[in-house]
Amino acid sequence: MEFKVEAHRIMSISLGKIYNSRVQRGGIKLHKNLLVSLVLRSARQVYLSDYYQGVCLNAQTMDTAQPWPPGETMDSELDENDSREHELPHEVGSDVRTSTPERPGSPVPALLNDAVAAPQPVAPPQLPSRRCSNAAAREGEANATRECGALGGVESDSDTPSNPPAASFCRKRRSCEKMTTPPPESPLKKIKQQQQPTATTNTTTTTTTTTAAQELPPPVGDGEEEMDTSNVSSLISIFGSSFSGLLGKESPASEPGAEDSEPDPPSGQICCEQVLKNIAPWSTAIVAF
Amino acid sequence: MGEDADTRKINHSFLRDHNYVTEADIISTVEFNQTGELLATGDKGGRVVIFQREPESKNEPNCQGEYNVYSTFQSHEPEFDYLKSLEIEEKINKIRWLPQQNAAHFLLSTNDKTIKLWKVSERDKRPEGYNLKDEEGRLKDLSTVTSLQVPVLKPMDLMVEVSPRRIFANAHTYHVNSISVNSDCETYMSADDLRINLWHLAITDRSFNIVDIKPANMEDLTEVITAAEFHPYHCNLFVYSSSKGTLRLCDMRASALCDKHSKLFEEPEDPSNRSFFSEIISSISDVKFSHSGRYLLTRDYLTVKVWDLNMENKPIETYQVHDYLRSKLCSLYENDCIFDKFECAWNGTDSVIMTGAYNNFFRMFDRNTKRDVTLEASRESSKPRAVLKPRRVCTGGKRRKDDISVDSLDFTKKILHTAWHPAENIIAIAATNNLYIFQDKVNSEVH
Repeated sequence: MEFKVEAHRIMSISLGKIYNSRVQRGGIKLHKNLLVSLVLRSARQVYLSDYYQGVCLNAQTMDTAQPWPPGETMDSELDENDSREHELPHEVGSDVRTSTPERPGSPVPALLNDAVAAPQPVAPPQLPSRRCSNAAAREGEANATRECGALGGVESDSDTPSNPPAASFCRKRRSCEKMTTPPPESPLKKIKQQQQPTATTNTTTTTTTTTAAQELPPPVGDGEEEMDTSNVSSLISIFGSSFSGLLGKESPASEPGAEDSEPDPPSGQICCEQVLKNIAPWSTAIVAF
Repeated sequence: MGEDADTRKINHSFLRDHNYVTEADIISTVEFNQTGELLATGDKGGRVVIFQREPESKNEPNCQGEYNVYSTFQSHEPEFDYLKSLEIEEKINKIRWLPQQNAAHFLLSTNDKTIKLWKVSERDKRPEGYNLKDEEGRLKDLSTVTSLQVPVLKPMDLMVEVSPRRIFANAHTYHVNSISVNSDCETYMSADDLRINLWHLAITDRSFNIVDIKPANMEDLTEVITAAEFHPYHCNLFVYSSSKGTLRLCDMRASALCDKHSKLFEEPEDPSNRSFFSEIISSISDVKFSHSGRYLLTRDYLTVKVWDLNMENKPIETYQVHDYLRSKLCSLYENDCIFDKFECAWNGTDSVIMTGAYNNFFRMFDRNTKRDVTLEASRESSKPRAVLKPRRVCTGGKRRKDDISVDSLDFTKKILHTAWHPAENIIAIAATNNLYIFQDKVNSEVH
């Protein structure tokens, strides 16, 4: 768990550095920003994988519905504060499917396993969510797949008061899925404007995270930690995997800000602005770091 | 004897008492010329100061020549790129001397975008006795001219004139980090983050691009060029280092574009040392050929390594500069110290290597005896003729008197730029805005 906290901290520091590099004299230093982006990527990988491992471990011990370790209590808090209707998490990575533990004697987990195995499970109302994916999911609500619809039924069955441990289990499971679903799908779309097929094809959320950003609910009173986490994940989802070079994509079909008339793309200022333009709604969040 | 020669402190005592450093005075590069007679420093304000070694006086045979200010000039000014809305810093990134070919000295200085060739010449005579002008230069009244005289050259106070001879501009999209003069004395190269250009010293409107590692899609960018240098006597060979910790030796005879290396020097990463910051600390900040041309010296964040040109898979020697920082990488990342680019230097015989560290410490490693020493460049410990005392950083365990603990190191005092005289044991250490010049006591006794 310490890794996760550490990774989270490193991610926020890295994002702060990248933001500050915009205003540094002499222009953006390519070398330093490349290194910072590499650190950001490593931290994010650890953050996501650590979170997922934590949830799996906890899932195995869910018989007693013991309190979650600090890392997971964040989600519990989100749990209570959540007021969303439905939400469609992003595509579930294949690794999520492979590790659902079995709990003997309970039909619900079996159902859940199936649910987990299929992409796009639908969450019941009380599900916790990362704000970004939740907001994004609301956008993508209309794009529910048939699997989601089918699972909807399954989930509502499982989410009965008579089965609180299972329900909370499924809650955590889904929050885990949401966390591990590679948010890059949306930023990739965002930055590339969906002109190119992405590497993974089974995502259905077509939302742009800018709209997600605008629809961010005001920060909940509970927890600076909570807000930081969600904002970090939102920022990560924006930068995503296309962040490795820091500089935005320069595909011909990309946003207007990306063109440069020079045959040689500039030293990064214009490209970086294009990325940063997209995160303008997040400037408040970044300042909070 | 140790000497301390500091430069351009506006008010000596004021600055010492208040620890105030003008940013423009921070030294950003130090370089001896090929004979060691001249030492050039560049600073963040775009100025270059040249020091000259006084010839040893016959009166005091034990007094080694001291370095005194020879000339100061403004090399680069801040500029503004209107197209990209970017300010171009005037900080001098590198200075390189050309081999001397006549009475004048030439040096190349570069900031992020523009390289300039400067001619440094002396004038110590002036003509006197003109027929039509008087001593102040006013025209004479012709009626007072009664005879004809031939002007003669009379000695005058030495005047050092510095003039820009060439300006090599507009060839780099990214920030120039290195320049290196070829042994053919006609060409030189300039390297930025992604490209290396080859210039002729006499031609400013054209350069050849010889290395280009810019990927077609900038999102695929994984490494940048961090330093580049020509071989000391093979005019076709050069080496460049990358942020991934690799060195590439290129041969310009092989092809016009040297993207494909002739040799790749890379040491596999030790998996037990893996952390979030492994990539940052493996980035090479400086590379130097040995004077013999057989070895390469590289500096990454925690180590200096000596490579043999004939062995690509690992360095022949690795020296830990400040391994006690390995557990503190996260804090060093937060305060940006992990991005500091330390330089390294060979001595004239390639037997000792030197590099800087924090707390105004610098380290020397003797390759033959395998002994190393940590010294400090500070005003208190550097009275003239004082012998520098070796310092030690204690990392827990037994603490000796005068040891410094890791936690009390001052990370704002860093020695990034060092230079070693090409022939003698004289070193120049740049500590923020101060320049320290130390000479070896043993050497002075021999003389």
